[in-house]
Amino acid sequence: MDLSSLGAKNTLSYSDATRGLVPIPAAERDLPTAMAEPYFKVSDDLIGLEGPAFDRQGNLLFVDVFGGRILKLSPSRQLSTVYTDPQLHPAGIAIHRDGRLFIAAIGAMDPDSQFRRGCIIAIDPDGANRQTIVAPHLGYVVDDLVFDNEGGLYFTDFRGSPTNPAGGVFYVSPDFQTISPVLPGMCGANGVALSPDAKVLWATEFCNNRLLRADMTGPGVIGRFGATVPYHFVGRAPDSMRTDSAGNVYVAMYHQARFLVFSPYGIPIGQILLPGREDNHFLKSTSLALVPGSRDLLMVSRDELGGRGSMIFAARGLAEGFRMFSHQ
Amino acid sequence: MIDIPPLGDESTLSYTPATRGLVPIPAPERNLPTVTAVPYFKVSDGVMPLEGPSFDRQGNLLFLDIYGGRVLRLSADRQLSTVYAEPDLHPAGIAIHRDGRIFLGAVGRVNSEGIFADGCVIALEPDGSHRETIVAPALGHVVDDLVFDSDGGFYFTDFRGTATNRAGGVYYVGPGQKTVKPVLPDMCGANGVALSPDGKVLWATEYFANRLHRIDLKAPGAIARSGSMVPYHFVGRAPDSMRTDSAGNVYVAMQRQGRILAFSPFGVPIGQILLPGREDNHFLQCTSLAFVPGSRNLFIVGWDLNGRGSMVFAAKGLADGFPMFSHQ
Repeated sequence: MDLSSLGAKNTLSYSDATRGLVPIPAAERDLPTAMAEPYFKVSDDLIGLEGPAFDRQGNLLFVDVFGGRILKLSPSRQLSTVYTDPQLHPAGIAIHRDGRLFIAAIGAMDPDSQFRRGCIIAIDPDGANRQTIVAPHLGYVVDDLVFDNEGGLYFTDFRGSPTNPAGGVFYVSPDFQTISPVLPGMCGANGVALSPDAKVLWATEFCNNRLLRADMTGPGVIGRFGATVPYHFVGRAPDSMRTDSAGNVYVAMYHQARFLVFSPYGIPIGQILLPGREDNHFLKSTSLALVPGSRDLLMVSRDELGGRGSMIFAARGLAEGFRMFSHQ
Repeated sequence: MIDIPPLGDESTLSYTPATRGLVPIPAPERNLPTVTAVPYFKVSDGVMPLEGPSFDRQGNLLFLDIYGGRVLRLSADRQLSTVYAEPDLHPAGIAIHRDGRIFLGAVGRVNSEGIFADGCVIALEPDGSHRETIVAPALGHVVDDLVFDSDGGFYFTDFRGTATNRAGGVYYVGPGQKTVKPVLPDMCGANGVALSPDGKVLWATEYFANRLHRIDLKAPGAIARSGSMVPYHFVGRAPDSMRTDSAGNVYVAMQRQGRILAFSPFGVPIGQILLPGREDNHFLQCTSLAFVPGSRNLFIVGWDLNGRGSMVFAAKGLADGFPMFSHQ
């Protein structure tokens, strides 16, 4: 076999733009791009950070998924533990106007390593007085949640796989008495967010790599022609999401150390990178929180491949964070 | 009160001229050959959703006032008249038979849940008389668009479904109009439908799932082995009606983006036509187009939610329009 005629023209090579585990996909390479800065190192060990949310006092609440802890980082960067339940596996936080922390949890792990008993609980700001809002026996695997302006809750059910649409988005009425399907039939619903006026519901479909956008005609009710899929992601995997005061939506790309930003109609218009991603550091980026009234935002990630622990990063977004239900 | 140190430009995400507004052109489509349409005829000062443009043999452009239930006719010298009116019909597509009859696809009444139900296909004489039912409301289809093949059979889309509910699809009605046969069932809101000039390739858009379908046909209403696939996932909302040219290219109206995307006969994007003013969020509502047979001229229907009414626009496509069944 004489292949001596093969030269550079016939040889596939890496370029600077395609090296590493998570090169930025070509279609997203020319987006306006910002680089985050380290803000606070949560631990030298790997802690699965998720669910960042600001309370009215300026504390950043977030979760340690596998330690079952609710953590609080004060404005002066003092870290404390608010609540611990090792079986809970909390994944998302939404803060009620009355100060209670509502925790989305994927629940206890079954013997076959699957999650089937997630729940939503509420606790007081000091971690006391646990109440069950959505009970484990209902079988949801609750990954994230967001309040609307009436005190109702949208939550994601993370069940499913790329070929099994067992998850979805559900709505809990403000009195927490009824749960209704909003977007059933999703392959692992993960992130959920609302536009500032609560008229647009966003969700990510983790296993199917899709962004969903729904025009709402009322709490929990999607309008005619309302739900569409404005984006298919490249690479793994769309996780939690937040909106800003201009209606833009920020999606954490898990395994990519990257946050993609979309216009109010769902078109990519920017991205924020975590430093070190080109050397595979801090790829497990799961979520972010915008500071109300400021373009500052904080992002959580952990460095499973690179050994640098778990970290909170800071950057500035396209528009200011708005006053969510917690701040109304 | 939150102590985030001042972040510099490198950590700040900003808009650029290419990413401003509700519908910036998605980055992967930004370098496509691009032209801008010009206003041709103002249909109304108010918001009147238009659909279904089709030329008859006399050179009239027929199109629809969906919510007024009207079939409108714009003569070659730009005289507008009403051919037919039926409130609650909600016509969404027109195909003209070789014998001159106007076939209408209609999404039907708005039911108690606020969604369309009991749509139909009806036929009218060119003067609007002799209404015949071709596909009955009792069958439950929500008919959005339709296209004749050269035998006088037609394909229609059923717009039922949501982003996560595949209740719609593409159906075929043979020349005898006796039966409705599923061609591509299980779609999330089938909307546009078109045939290649030789009738061997069927195209459809899946509105809510944001996908382009391309189907090789082996016979009327029958998909060839390995013949059905999805050559494109759109970005942003939402693929609506579509038309083909004499070269087999297909043009898809991007509803809510004020834009027509053109694809090669194999389904690769090769160009786009913009509606003027879209950068300022004017005329984003854009549902369909029609080619002038034997000419590269084409007409696009759109309307503006920001005060400029409803309009027919003109542009030139990549190749001539071809004589459809109406002109054979």
